[in-house]
Amino acid sequence: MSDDRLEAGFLAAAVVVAVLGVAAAVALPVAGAAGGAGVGADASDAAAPNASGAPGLAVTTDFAATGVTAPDRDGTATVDGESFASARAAVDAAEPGDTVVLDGRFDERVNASVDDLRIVASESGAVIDGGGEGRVLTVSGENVTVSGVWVRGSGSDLGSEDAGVFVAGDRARIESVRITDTAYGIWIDGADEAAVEDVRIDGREDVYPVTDRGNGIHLFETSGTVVRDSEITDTRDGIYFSWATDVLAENNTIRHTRYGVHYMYSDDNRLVDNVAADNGVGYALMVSEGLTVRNNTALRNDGSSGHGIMAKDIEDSTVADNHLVANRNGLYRYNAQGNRLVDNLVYRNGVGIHSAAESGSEVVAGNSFVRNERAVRTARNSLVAWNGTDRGNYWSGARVADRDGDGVSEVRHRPIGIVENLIDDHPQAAAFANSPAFEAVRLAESSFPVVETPGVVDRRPLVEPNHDWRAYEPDAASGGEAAGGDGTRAANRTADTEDTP
Amino acid sequence: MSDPTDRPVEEPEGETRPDGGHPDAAATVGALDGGTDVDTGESGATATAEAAETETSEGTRGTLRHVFVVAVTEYRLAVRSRWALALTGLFVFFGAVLMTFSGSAVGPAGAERVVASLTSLAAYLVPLAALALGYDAIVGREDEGWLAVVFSLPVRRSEVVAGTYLGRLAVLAGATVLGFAFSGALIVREFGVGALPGFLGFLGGAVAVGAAFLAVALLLSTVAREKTHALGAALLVWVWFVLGHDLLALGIVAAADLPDAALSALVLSNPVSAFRVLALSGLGTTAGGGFTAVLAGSGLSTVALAASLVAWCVIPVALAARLVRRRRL
Amino acid sequence: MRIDATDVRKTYGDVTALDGLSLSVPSGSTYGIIGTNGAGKSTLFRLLVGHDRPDAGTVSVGGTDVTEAGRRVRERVGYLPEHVGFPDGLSGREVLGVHRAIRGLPKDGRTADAIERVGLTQEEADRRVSGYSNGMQRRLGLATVLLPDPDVLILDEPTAGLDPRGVDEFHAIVGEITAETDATVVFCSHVLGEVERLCDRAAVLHDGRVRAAGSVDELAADAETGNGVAGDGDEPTTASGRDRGGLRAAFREAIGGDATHDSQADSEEVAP
Repeated sequence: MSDDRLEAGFLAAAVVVAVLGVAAAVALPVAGAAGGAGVGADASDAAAPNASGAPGLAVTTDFAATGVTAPDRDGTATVDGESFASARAAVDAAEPGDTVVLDGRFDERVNASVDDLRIVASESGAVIDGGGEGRVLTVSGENVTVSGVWVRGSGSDLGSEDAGVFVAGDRARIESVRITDTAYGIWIDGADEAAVEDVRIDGREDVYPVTDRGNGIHLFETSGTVVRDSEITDTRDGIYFSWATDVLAENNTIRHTRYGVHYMYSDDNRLVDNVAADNGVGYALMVSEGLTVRNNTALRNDGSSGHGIMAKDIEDSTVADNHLVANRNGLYRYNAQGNRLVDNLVYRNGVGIHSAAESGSEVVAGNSFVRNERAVRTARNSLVAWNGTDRGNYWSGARVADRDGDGVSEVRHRPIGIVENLIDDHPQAAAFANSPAFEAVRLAESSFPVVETPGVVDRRPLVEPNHDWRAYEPDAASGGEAAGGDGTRAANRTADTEDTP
Repeated sequence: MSDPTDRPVEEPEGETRPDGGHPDAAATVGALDGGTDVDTGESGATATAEAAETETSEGTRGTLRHVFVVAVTEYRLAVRSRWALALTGLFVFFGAVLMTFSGSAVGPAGAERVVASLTSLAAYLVPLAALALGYDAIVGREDEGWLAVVFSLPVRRSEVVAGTYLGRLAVLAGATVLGFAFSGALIVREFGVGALPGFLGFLGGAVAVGAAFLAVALLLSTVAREKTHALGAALLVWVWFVLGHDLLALGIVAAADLPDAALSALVLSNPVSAFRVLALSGLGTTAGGGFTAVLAGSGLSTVALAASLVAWCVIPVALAARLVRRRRL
Repeated sequence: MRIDATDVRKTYGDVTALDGLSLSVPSGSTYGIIGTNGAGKSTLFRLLVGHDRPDAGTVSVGGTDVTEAGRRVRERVGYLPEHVGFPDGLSGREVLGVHRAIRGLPKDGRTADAIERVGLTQEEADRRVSGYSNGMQRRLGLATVLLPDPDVLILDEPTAGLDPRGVDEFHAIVGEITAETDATVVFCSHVLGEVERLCDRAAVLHDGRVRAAGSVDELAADAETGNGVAGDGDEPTTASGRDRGGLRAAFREAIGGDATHDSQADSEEVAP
């Protein structure tokens, strides 16, 4: 009798479960229109890497040059107790060491050729409007400070270097300045030890193509210059380096440009604590040596050739502790030699690291590759080991086995091997992704050291990541209750399952 | 109550549910057989209730009755030999292990990852379970002597084959649904009902791929002379479709630039691949590996994939229904 | 319902099972078929129920060609294969229920009747087949054959494996059928006495052909006189065989004194 009950009950239970499941799924969009829509929205969030909602994905803006205003009343320039209606007249009249105080609106172009001059705005603000021609403010004297002034309306001839502020004298100091409606924002022209601080540059966003705009800050043949705490949007490149050396760029935020930061022929510069979001390329490092790129964030640089960091013909540089999140390619390398790529978080990019032309003498260690659609793409004529030190990288979804408890897995990881290369060559093969056949080939590649197929190998992958990426996790933010304390690490571990190939 | 075999009539889902996906299977095999073993009409010697019916309608009703009785018997035997519980337990166990290790990722993306992992698991497990359940369906019954008894009844052999398939399919489909429903319940508890459609897509695919491999097992069992041969062939079939076929397909893709149609053929010619692509393409890009794009780019459609799975059920059964006539008792 | 086989040939690979066999079983007769192992008895039976097709010749039951309409023939025939078996998971009553359901027979108590007729108790019928002795399985097999009240019963070695009581019961059942219905009963047996006792007609098969056929009395009588019924002019049988008399002599004569076959049939007669 119990058999009979089982016979009827088993099938009945299966049918009931199936019907309930289908009914629930069918009723879902009907019954809870709000709930259903929410689900749909969530799903699209998950699908799009540039989802918002997480604290790390929101970029802080409007922090630079906040007190600067552009009043419309007629301008009055004061120097040594003497007032001028023209700023140019006041500046020309000034002696070295004088302070020129500007108040109101000046429709003219100014050349500060006196050394040790200070040009400051009054408390009620000052604007210099170039009227759409030439350079608005030229600093040709040495040790000139410009502070609190709004500069706008330069010409639009890129060939004649039409800039808001054109600096030709050493030790210039541009601080708390707003620059709008100019071709170039600031052009440092062969002058050393300039300081640009707390400057906000909004480029001409209605000019297309973007390459017809000027750069935000253009550094030409300068040394010892500092650019910090500044904010740049809608220019061609945010900060452009050309034959510039020993320049420190720190704590700047650059958005909606072609390249956020662009190095050309510029050696031994430091790029620290910057944020580049929604640009074509976050940080374009090209034809330079000895760069230090540390602790920067590259976010959503996901255009058709979007890279968080592009390193092209770069040598002996360090790219460390950066967060490359939700870019098309986290890091794009082309013929980069002898660089150190260490301790970066590479999270949710289309491709974590894309190496177009490969080199052998680099160090890639301590990075966390998490939930990129593909961790690595590479030119594939050789096998490259990405663990120049005794520690490799963290790869989400990698099989790890740490028998001696030193945090380093004894099983090597092949982030890219024969199947990935196959998909590169024949995108059709992606139809077989996730198949046991794929897994078998992968397993063979990582299990048998004698199998040396072209690609990338990490012989000592890390068991635990060095980074906390929950700030960039949209679902974690909306989900609310992130586990604290001991749970944090567990949550991180379980949250990442696999890089989908 | 007095005659236990009458009970099947009281549980009509015994037939209607398990063959829900393939109502045409019985008709197909019946039609296949019809040419040579024509029912030329009732002579009226047996006092059946249908004697007054027209010949055609009696033929169809008789076929359905035969298939139904065999299916119920096979279903009943499989449940009694604990297949139903064992398979359900197997799916519950592996699903639970997977859920345990995939932990508590939140949001729909997390749900999709879990479903994607379940898909990978089911790609190994369900074909194996189906082959294990089906390899002795015919050859085992012959060893018992039961096949000779049943074939001496006024049935077409194809009806017995179809009934055997449907009866065992009911067990497999029931076990798949119930076993993975456990994982489904955990997913819904963890991620909310929004995760349900993706999971149901997976579940439907799992039932279908199980049905396909059960059909293949039935064919092997029909052709095999001995039970051990059927078992060996079933294992080879498993290794081939789970591993070998895709490896070969990868090799072919690597060696030659294929037209899209050829690639589609490579996918559709393996029920496991069809299931995997079908289940994964229903998920978002994060977990599905951009399968939607792959589908769009390769000329594979959801309909084609589903149709290929149905074909993988119907064709082996139809073939078995034909070949069973060659079988010597 | 009569059974006719005309010039039937059947080969399996290079083994010739039936070699031009012709046989006629009159309607309502109880027909015994005797022959050595490999004589073609089981092959003949398989052809009679449509499990195989003859390579040449025709087989018909009640005038219906089995090859053309095997399924219709099987509706009228109860066939008990030599190696009958049932799934372990079913009870005896359920096995009969499957038969009843497939044949589309009414629920009129015939299941319980069949169980009683073959000497199983109703309680035994509710037990799983896995617990059945060999004899009980044979009885259950016989019950499945009796269930539809068939016009033709074809029984392949029905008493093999039965205990003496079972054999007696079987004989009683066949006697009942012969007496109460006009069903045709065809069975084969190694036990010559059984055929002699139950059958009104018999045929001797050897090497795929009918070597002798006719009423049991005729066969026995012809053997006594040395006039074999079979027309292929075999050697007369020996005196020692004649001493035992009856079918045994006929059998010996028909198969041509083949020592191997003879001794085999001999021993099996002694120990059924």
